[in-house]
Amino acid sequence: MNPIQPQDPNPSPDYPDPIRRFLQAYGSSAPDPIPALEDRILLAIQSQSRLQAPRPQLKLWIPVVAAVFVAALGGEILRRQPALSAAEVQELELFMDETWAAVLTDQDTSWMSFL
Amino acid sequence: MLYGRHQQRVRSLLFHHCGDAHLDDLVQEVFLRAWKGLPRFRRTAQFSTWLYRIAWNVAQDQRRRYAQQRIQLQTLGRMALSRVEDSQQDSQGVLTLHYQSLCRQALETLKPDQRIVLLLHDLEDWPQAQIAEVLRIPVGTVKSRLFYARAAVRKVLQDSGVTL
Repeated sequence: MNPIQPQDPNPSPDYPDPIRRFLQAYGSSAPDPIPALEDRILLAIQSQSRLQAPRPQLKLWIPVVAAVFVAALGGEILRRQPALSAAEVQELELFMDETWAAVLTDQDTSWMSFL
Repeated sequence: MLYGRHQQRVRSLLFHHCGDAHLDDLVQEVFLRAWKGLPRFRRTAQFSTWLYRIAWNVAQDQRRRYAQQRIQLQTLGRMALSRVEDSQQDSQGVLTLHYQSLCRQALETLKPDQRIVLLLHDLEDWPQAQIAEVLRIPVGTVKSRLFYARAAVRKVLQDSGVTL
């Protein structure tokens, strides 16, 4: 048995020690893990990943999308307005002429009734 | 892959410092913390050393929880060893059981910092340099604790009539 030297200022227990052999013979080791532990760890990591996933900044791009939509819709409405035909233009000009002529001259306006 | 490579040492460290209660949960906690801390891992240290440091921190946290709950780790160790003894009673002799009990008693007389060094080095074959890095102590301190831990265990065995 190796003598104990508590006064040794530089203990060097690198040599094979009987205590080491005794511990390896009679010391207890960790019990085996459950078979599904690795899967359980992977699931835990995946759930952490989902919690930490960055969420899109909804409050920033909703008004942008809305503005683009309104602009597109307005443009579509203007594009679809049909142009007046030549006959319609002539009728409109005649109406404007008869209506405003009474305002500008002293013509009989009895047909005009005002409520 | 990292789990397969390192889980046994992680498990041993946790077991020798905290007993076998909630061991699977503690192992899971270690790997979860490692995954979260990967962005901060600096490649100046070995990955294994970094991982075992996390395991050491988890073990320390668990011991603090036990202290708060006033759970005797010796009791937990006794429960773990008695399970081993019960399972081996049919195949091994009474003398083996006696030595196993002596081993446990001897380890219980050690301070936690001496016990963990002794078990990691002598039972789990960790190099002294790695023990020093993981526990964040000088290699000289590892050697010193190892020396005095072995001396204490030897004394208990001698007092029980065991000559090595």
